[in-house]
Amino acid sequence: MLQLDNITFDYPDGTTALRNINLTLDAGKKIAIVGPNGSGKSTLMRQLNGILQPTSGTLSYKGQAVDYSRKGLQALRQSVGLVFQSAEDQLFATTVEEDIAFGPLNLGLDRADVKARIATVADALGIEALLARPIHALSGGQKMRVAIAGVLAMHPQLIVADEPLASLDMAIQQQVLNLFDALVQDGRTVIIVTHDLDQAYAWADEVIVLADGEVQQQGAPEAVFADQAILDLCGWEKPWVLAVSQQMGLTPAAKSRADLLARL
Amino acid sequence: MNVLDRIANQSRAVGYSPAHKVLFALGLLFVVIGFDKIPVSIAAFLIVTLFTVGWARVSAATWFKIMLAQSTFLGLSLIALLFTTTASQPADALWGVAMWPGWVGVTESGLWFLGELFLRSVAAVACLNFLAVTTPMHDLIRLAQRYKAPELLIDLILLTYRFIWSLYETLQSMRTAQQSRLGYSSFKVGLRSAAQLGARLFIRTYQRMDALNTSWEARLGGTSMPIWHTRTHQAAYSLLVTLAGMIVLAALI
Repeated sequence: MLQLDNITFDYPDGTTALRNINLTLDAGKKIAIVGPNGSGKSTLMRQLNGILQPTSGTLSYKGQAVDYSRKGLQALRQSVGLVFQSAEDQLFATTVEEDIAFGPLNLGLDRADVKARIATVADALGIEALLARPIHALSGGQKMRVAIAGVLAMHPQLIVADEPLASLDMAIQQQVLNLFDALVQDGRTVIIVTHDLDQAYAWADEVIVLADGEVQQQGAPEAVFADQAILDLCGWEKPWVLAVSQQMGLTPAAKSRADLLARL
Repeated sequence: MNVLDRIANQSRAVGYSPAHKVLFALGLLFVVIGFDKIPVSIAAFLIVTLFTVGWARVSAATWFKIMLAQSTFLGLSLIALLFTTTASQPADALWGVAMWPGWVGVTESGLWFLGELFLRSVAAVACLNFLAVTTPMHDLIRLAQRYKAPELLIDLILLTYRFIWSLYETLQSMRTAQQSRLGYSSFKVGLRSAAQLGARLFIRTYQRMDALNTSWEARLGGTSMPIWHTRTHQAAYSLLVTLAGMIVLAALI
């Protein structure tokens, strides 16, 4: 769906944040982007909907090179939704409902449509009761869910979320992951940028490892996390489910904690 | 401010038409200022208090605390007006000293004027307080949008309002962090910490602005905030009737 060819990005101060990135992000996939701090994850994320423009290389959406004119960006941003790491910094309306309405209204939808979308995403994220609340009266976890809702209400084909689960408790994390799974089953793509390797391993169909602004690996989590060279390069320990599976000689390796326990 | 907004959101009046509340508060404010009579000021204050406590169910203690705090400031600023200066000692002088080139002191008419001014200010402030404790900010912003206030003004109010909270939260958490590292253990250290906090807050505001801008763009934000309101409000005719009655009464007095 989204393709990056040889993308390099330099910040105005001359630092190269991304080097020759080649990636194909397919439809209907759960993708995790992992990488040490400062590896370029956030910069990469901002490339995906044209917030940052590559210094060289091409970004293509559905086979078409992205046009960085106002109109082209409009189309790209409608298709690629970004959820940023700090929920606080992406909510600017006064109430929850108004904030969720922001994107759909910018798409030019009529009121009935906007209302229906708000109701649907609020229900999916369990924030119906918060709709009339002012943003500043929300907890951190609630803010994150509102931020996700605001992006989902625009019905993007590809959702990129930066550490969306970090501020959520376990039950809500599961709720959000289930929601992501439903989106993927619907043929959309969900990309999570994360530091939680266990979660990346259990959830993703595909893992992209970024280090020093370069893609080190892209592939199935079982293969990527079994690669000792990658683990060493990033200073990581193997996801524990995979480690236990290997230790016990399970083939194929267990995918999740539940899967592992069932096979013991 | 935090407090006022919370009270407004919890008051029973939140479900009533913000337009009617604004009309009532501003109408009464103009009556108080326009008619400029002591009985009008007192009546206006009592009516506003009645509606705030009886109708909007804001606790009386909260209401009077807010009023007391503001009245203290008003009172303090009136001290200077206590003194009258004239060329020679007036007939209704209560206390004073002859000072070249004239006379400075307190006169009876001066006291009356002061009392009148104080009551009028308190009544006027009460009218605006009524609005503050019964109408959340976002209702006021929406109202301004509905009545076609300039977009730029609305966006400014909106972002300022959102930013105040955002900054306030940042301020709180930074101060807590400083306190937990003994940043306010002595006066001198405290001053330094406060200065650092101020400088840091400035930078943080800038960064936050940048981040907000990015997410605004990512969700296709245009030149202004689109209008969205769904909360329906009940009409508050009691307010309008009272206002009309008050205007008639004030004209008669």
